[in-house]
Amino acid sequence: MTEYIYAYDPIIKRRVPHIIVNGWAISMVTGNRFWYGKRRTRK
Amino acid sequence: MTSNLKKTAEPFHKKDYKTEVEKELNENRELNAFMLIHGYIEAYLREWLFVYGKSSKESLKENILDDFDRMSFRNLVIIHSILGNINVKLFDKIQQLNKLRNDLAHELIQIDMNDNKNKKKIGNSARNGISICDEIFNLYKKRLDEKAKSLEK
Repeated sequence: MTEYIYAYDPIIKRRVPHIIVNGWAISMVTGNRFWYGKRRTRK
Repeated sequence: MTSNLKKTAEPFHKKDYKTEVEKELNENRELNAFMLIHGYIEAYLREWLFVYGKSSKESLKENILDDFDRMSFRNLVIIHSILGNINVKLFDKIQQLNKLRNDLAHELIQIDMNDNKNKKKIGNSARNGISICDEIFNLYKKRLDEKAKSLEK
């Protein structure tokens, strides 16, 4: 199942949806990525 | 202060507008409930437009983003309609909700919130707002999933 988080995108200086791919959080707006880790967010 | 509040990563599914709005309704805060759901609808419509776009990092200049933030709710709904993201029926429902929001925001001092008829009307509109928000969110989420497929490759 696709996992999304809301996170800060420094390029547009806004908090936008990011998709988690192999531990990377990728901004759905700019494609900017940061290491999010392999944690599970869904409870 | 708000920028600090915004920087923590939060799972997407934890934004639960339905529970938040219903809590306000259950505690007889109809006006809060209505304004809250209107706020969620606007936020999802803005976010959807961002995600829908194919702009490069370079083209998203700060002045464009600032102008985007200042774009009126009505223009936002019109753009979604032109793009075919929302149909005429949904467009009309959103506009109707927004009309009540504007009436409430601009004539708040004249509205008797102790009048049960007013409370009922606003409460029903908030409940209606939840179903409108559901429609918007489902359409937006579909677009989000489509875009995600290209990023997952």
